[in-house]
Amino acid sequence: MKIHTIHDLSDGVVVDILKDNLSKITDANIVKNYHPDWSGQPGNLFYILAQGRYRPGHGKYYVITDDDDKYMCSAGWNEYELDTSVALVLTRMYVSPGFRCQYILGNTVLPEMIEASTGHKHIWITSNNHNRAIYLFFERAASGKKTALFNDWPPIYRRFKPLGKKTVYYTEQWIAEYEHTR
Amino acid sequence: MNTQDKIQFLQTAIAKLFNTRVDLNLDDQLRDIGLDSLDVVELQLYYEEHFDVQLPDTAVINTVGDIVALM
Repeated sequence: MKIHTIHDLSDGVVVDILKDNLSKITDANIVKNYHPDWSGQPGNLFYILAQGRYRPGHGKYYVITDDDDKYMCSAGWNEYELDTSVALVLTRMYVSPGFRCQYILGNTVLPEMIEASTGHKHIWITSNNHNRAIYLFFERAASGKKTALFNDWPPIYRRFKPLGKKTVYYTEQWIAEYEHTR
Repeated sequence: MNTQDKIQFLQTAIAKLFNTRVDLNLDDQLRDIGLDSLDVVELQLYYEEHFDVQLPDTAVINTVGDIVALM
């Protein structure tokens, strides 16, 4: 497994890996946010990369491949421009269907994202109504309930506590905040 | 509910929730049936609501047979 990191669109090799794989997405709920054909839309990953949201010191986008550079999954962390006390982790996350439920991002890059963003007072994972099961996990973990029927999420996710709904990037999102150790 | 009914319940739940057709056997490893990390949370909720139970957080479930034994 390889972990590639980018801050913008300048690394043609990694960006091509992303484009080749994200162009296979057909799910109408997410296609505009990931498919390179929608790169002119403000919420699209390629638009976001081009605009500098993951620029050095303020964010980073991680692309995980196997040893043969076959795309597995990707996600980023970035400072929230509208409130710089907040870092958002696992943003624009996508996992290729063949690698789902293996918790590759949670086990590999999430700890690094948290480490990279500890200068921020708040570290958030956000979810919307489409993927609200993410937030249900945090609610259930906080109340001591069993969180998944099987193949539960890695322990690091239990460090995030549910905060409820907040407006992030002009959209209502469900927020879970990382509990700092210091 | 006999064992086959319980397996059928699980298959029906997966089909209903995730639009995925699976044929399950008692020895099948659940992690291999193609659900993602959000699906396993939703399936937990569905199970609790349907049976009106709350499984302990410590319950270890790896196979179809493990779920059937808890039903």
